[in-house]
Amino acid sequence: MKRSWWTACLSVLVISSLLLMSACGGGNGANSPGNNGGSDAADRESKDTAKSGEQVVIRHTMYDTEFTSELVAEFEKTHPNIKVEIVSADYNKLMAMMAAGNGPDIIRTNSVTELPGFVLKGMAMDLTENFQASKVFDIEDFLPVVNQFKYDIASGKHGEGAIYGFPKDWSPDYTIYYNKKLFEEAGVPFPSSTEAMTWQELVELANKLTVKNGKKTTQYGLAYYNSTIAANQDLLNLQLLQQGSSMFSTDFSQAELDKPGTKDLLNFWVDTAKSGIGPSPLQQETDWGGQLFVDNKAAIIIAGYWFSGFLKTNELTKDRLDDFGVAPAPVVEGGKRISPTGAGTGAIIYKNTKHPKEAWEVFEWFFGAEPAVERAKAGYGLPGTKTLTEMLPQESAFDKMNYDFIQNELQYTDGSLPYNPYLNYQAVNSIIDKYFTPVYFDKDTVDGAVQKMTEELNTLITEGKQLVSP
Amino acid sequence: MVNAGMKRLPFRITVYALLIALSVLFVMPLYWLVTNSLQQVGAASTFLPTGLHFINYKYALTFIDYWGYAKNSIIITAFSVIIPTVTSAFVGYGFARLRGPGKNVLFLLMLSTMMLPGIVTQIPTYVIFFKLGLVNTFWPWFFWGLGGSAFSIFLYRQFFAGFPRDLEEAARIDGCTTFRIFWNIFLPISLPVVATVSILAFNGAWGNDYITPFMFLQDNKYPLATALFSIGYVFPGQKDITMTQVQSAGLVMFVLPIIVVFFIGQRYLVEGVVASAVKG
Amino acid sequence: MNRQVVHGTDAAFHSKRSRFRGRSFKEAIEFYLFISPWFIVFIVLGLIPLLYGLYLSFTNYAGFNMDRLVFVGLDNYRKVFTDNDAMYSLGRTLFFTVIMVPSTIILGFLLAVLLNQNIKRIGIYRTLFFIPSIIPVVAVGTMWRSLFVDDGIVNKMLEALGLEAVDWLGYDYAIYPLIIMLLWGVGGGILIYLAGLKGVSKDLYEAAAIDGATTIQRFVKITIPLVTPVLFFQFIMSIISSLQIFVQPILLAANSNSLLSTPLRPNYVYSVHAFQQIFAYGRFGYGLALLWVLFVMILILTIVVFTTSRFWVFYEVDQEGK
Repeated sequence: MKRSWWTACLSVLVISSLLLMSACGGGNGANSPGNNGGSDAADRESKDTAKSGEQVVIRHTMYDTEFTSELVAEFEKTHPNIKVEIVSADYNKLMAMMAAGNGPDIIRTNSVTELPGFVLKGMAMDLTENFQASKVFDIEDFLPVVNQFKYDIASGKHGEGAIYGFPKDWSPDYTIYYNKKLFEEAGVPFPSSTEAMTWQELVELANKLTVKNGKKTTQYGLAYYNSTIAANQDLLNLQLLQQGSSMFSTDFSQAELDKPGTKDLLNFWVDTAKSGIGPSPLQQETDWGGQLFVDNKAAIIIAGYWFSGFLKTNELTKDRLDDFGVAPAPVVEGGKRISPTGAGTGAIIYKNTKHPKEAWEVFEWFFGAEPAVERAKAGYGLPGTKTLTEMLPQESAFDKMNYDFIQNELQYTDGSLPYNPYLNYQAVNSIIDKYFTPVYFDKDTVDGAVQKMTEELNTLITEGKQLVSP
Repeated sequence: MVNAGMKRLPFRITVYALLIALSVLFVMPLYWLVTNSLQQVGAASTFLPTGLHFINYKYALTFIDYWGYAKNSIIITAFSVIIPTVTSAFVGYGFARLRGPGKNVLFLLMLSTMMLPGIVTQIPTYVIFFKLGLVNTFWPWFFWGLGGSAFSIFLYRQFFAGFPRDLEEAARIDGCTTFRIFWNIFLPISLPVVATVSILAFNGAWGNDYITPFMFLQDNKYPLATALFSIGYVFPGQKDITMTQVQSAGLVMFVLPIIVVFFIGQRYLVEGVVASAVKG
Repeated sequence: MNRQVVHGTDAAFHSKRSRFRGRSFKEAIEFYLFISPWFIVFIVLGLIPLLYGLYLSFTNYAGFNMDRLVFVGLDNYRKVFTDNDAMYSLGRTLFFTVIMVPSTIILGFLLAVLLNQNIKRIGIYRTLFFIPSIIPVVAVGTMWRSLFVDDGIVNKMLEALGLEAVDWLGYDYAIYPLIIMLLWGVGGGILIYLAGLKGVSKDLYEAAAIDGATTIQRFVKITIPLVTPVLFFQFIMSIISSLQIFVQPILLAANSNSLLSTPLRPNYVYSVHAFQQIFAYGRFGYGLALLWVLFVMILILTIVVFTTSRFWVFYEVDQEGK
């Protein structure tokens, strides 16, 4: 009797406290901690700074290899009112910070795959006026790649409208580096550095460069820096862009994977993976494509201008740079020659930043002033302006080759890869990985996978559209 | 049983053969790390070493603020080992030897905190910690430490529940308070358990928790685990390409303290403490 | 006389009862006092986030929309049971759990018995056995891949034995490397078993030896019963960890280049599905619902094990709550 009375009492206590707490928790959610708490804190903080004229802390999510501590020190010397702090964040942490009203001021952004989504999600500040008024940036001098930081909310067009950020550096990511020694061994002539091959030609070439020992491949013809030689979102989007097509309807509200052109491409990648000319789910490797290339285990790699910087710093290649050649991005047969960037990584300013003025000061300096010049001179990637392009390294024969090549390739770089702004980049990767990989193992058909992918993509698009519609 | 068995030669041989074969199997990841830490920067990963590039260790220490991160690791680990090893024993004793209404429910509640993947509470916790001013401080680890860890509490409970009843009954007759029974009788004879809990807590805090610090701290406060995985070592200007060899060197130095702690701690796993306490 | 006796009995009855009440009341207070460090910290730091997280699983939370959440009722939970992938991946998780739970318990225990031998420098062996638990799995993911790739060590060994090489990382064999990888971390529990074995008094063995019990008999009759509290612990913990398997399948994925890579279908487990929904798809609300369902399943299994424990776990004091 007593015992059950005690238990009952305790249960009531626990349950009522649970309910109390849950009311609390729920209330917090409904009261939008993102806005309320955040703006309170912002008010307090900005009052504080106004009062004492103290340092303002600007936090960014660039990597510390990009915005190095040396650069921070340099900046803080000339801007004593601003303290720059790094806070590395993945998407999840970014969301947590935003939810708490503690979002970083400058957010590292992949313009090609992330910018439209970030704009639609209300994360990006419109910087059009800042750029127009800037004494550091000259809009006339921008290369087309900067358009990747433009998004027109009204029309849903990526590459047009208001500008939200600027690239740190970039590359046309689908150009080709090749190993001359392996070409010579196979008795195959080098590809042209100005005329683009078709994808079919590239695969045929790679086939000649593939060396097999029994069933095992000892030397691959082709590798891709970011993934395997199989269907993946990036390569498909490039091919579709060249076709003038897309995985989606023009307003991105529907997945359209069953268009004949798209299916041809999917079949092309299944055949390519099965042919064994490169690492694929059927022939898995421990190391990434770049490692195979520097180890002379892959004759061709699809990688951008940045890869020349990698070859120059890598112990295994830096003393034999003459072994390597560069060629334009392949083009779809009958398609338009476009060699766009696959990333165009830079940053945006967080829309709810408490210090927009100071954040822009940091942004302008890092993306437009000395650090930009230094980056161009180092040649790890291409700059965002025509003027800075002149500063790219041209001293050595290897640098000169890359420089001449890129000056020619630049004329084909204008184009927006058709990523869906309502979908996370990773979501599409996962969907293709999940449903298309079984096709290589003959566990599913292209048609079957297309149907499953379309279904899941459409569900996500519908949800994604709802989430960002006002 | 132990010694009787060990006297027979075939048995001894079997035991040694098994120990050695399994050691080879289990030491593999360390071998892998050490081997690759000595390869030339930029080489492919391998099982068969081709060089001895000790310079990688110097790189590992200098390319990032290794000692700074190590200092943060020490703070976090101290909070997560010393405090909860004691408080967990306290709570574990309560669950094992004392009775009160709602005990089973509370015990299950405690266990259930281990069953829920951390991600469920990650963002809410961040929001609340931010409001409480705990983000980017080491305070959360202090408070979490005070509460003990569910894992350790459970482990203590299992051991304390197995200790002979005579232990506390004799003490009660002598007029010992419950706290003294716990502190002066149970804790001292639980050395193997305390050692086990400490080692596992150290391993967890120093070696395996890199997501929690990543969430709640800013880069200059990261412990080594987080720094090695989230910042790591990349080729200059190549944001995503890791210098695997330098990273491996950093990892080898990073796991060394855990190996040392384990080696020292396991010596406290000795027999017969409970038995002698009862007899004494 | 009669009255007195009655009175006396009554008094004795009363005092006995109040003494009993007094002691159990005091014990209850002590119990709450002892567990209060955990309980207070849990209530203050743990409970609100927990309930907040529960609430989010009933909304359309997608990470960025905290300021305009829409309550969607049971939609996310309905999705858990209608989403083919959720149910498929649950099946995979249960498959690996059924394999992993008994094998980790048994193998771990046998290894601990081996390491409990009175041998010189046993500490070194113990340390070596513990190494897989020390080194973060993510740090050696490439090691596993390099073991199992086409021209990896495993295949080279098979070929040396005159056997066919196998496509370990391919669709048909993918579960084997995963099981091996998971089993290989079994050493993490050794320490706990060892501590348990150390609690078994030598006197008991000696007494049994005098009674003429064989080694095996002593092991079954003395060692095993006395370590049942530890076996119970390992049982619960291995259920929890097996149902939450997550990292290893990703490291063995066909396109393994990040923690968001998708494992091949046979290794597509429930936690991977849930984490993908959150981190790749940005469906935080749904992902949280998936994890809450997982939580409930683990909880139910634990309660089942917990209730059966009275039949096979030997405690010195009664563990029934009052």
